[in-house]
Amino acid sequence: MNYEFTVLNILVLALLANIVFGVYGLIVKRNLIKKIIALNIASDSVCVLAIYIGYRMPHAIPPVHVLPYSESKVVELVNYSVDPLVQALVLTAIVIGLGFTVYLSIITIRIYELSGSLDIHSLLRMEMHTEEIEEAEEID
Amino acid sequence: MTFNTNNVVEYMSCRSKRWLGILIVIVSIVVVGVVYTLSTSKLIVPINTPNRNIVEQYIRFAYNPFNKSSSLVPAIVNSIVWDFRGLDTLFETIVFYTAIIASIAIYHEYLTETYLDTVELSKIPKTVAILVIGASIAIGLAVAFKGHLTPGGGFQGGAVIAATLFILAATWSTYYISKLGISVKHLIVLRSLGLLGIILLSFYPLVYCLLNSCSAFIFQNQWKDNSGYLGYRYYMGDDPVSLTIIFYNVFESIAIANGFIILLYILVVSGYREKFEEESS
Repeated sequence: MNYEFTVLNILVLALLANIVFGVYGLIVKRNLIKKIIALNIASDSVCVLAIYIGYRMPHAIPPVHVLPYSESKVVELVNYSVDPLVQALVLTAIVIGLGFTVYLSIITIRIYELSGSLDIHSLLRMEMHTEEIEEAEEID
Repeated sequence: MTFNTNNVVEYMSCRSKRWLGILIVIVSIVVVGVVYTLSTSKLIVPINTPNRNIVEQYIRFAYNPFNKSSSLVPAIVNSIVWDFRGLDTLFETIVFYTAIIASIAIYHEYLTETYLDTVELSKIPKTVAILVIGASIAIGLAVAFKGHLTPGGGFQGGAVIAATLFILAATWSTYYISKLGISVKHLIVLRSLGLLGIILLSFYPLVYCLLNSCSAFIFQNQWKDNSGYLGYRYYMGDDPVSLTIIFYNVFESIAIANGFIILLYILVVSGYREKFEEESS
């Protein structure tokens, strides 16, 4: 039994469970703020999982060329450096995640100001109610 | 307690208990399977393997002074972000920019000084903040300006600078910051200048080649095949380093830092507006 792999695999399973919980919260929770939190949990867990897959276990070194240039340093980077492509992708994902969190938060604050509620069911009920009122006004 | 077939039938007829039994069986199978795989295999993670072929190409082309078409950026992540996948980063910045524009559009009529908070903290946090702010801005600038040499870059540097102003807002209030001259209009102009700088810089090779009758690509950094644009570089000792990437990082940090501070204003205004209107009425 290899304890190193056991611990790392538990980490991976925990991250996968986090993603599942995030998606579950996004679908099941009725509060809009809780939906945003669940979305953030899911997206950040995906980021951590991606970074983890790009990690090199025994002698990880940061993906930076140290000047002056020499071929032996490049070979060392190729063999032992952390995956730089994943880091660049995750950087993009973080910024875009921040963008949509900002937009969703501001819209949620505005919805709360206008309707006084964050529960999605009561918001839908309000919408149906206003539609009925509008229809009745049109008939009159 | 004796074993009785009636009990078993009763047990099976009860739906919830039957589901409980099935659940226990499934959970125990999953637990045994998970423990077995955990103790024997590597599951999904490719650890202890050398980098993939495409990553090796990125590492070799990021910095190589003997290869004319390498991007000459020692920090490999930064070379991917601003050279190999430059357009991707441009559109990522535009997504963030658009999200903040949408937020401003919702709260534009309240983004004035009257709706900002005026609560100041005591002398102790102010003294600590003065000590922190200088160092923090220096770190932010260093992360942005040296993003092509060390881990870091435009987004990270901009975030650090914005965090410094958040400390200022927490200790002296947002009204005080606004009085210092950092109003929302100035911030929007600065942020637009940052994004405009990135866009103009990315089109510069095309303009250069239009005037000198050669061919070039958008976001071109150093020399490429079929291109007459040679790119710009400076020397650290004897080693050439790309000059363009510094400007991309600085423009990005300007855009991001100002975007974050506008966000702070919007959040403060959305929180304080109702309270303010209650007091005034």
